[in-house]
Amino acid sequence: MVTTPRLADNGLSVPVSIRVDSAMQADDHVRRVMLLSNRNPRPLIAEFELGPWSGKAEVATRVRLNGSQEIMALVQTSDGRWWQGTAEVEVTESACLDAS
Amino acid sequence: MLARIQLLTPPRRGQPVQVRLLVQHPMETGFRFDFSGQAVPANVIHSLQADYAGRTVFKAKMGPGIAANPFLMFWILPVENEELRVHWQDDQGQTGQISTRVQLAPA
Repeated sequence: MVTTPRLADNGLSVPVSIRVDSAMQADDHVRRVMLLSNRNPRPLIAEFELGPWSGKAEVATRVRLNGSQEIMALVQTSDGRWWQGTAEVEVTESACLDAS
Repeated sequence: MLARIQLLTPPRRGQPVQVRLLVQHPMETGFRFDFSGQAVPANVIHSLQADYAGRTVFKAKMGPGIAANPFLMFWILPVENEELRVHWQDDQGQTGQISTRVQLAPA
């Protein structure tokens, strides 16, 4: 599950958190979390590696977003399967208005 | 590089504790130009790793999509009185590190 504010005033710093409902046991845990953007010049925002030693499958960070879009998290569990979650976020001011 | 790390609650054995990390870094995207029209070279913290109790407990690969002064939150499972060490490297080859002691509260 991906959560962001529904409306972000400024695309330069948008808080994003990704929480996966997982027991985080040795035989059943989240191995990898990838955070992707639909509209950024570089779609792959970040990639995190977790394990049973994390205790909880939750990460959070702050991202740059180039406009309103749907951001997506891809999650790989220890059995090799991939899961996805998305969040819609509206950005009033893009991060890509630069000094040029 | 300046950084802050914080355990949100006093660690107890076997109970996940939230770790918050803030690093001072411009996370320069490489898409910007300075006033003379020169492209500003990209410089982001591309990899970060947290070690605790003899293993890597958290790893992050980041790109220019992470906001300046990157903030990261993750969880660890306290098992022993040991340092939680975080270290990272940026595109210019500069490294930084910070650590905090995971001191288990008496059960």
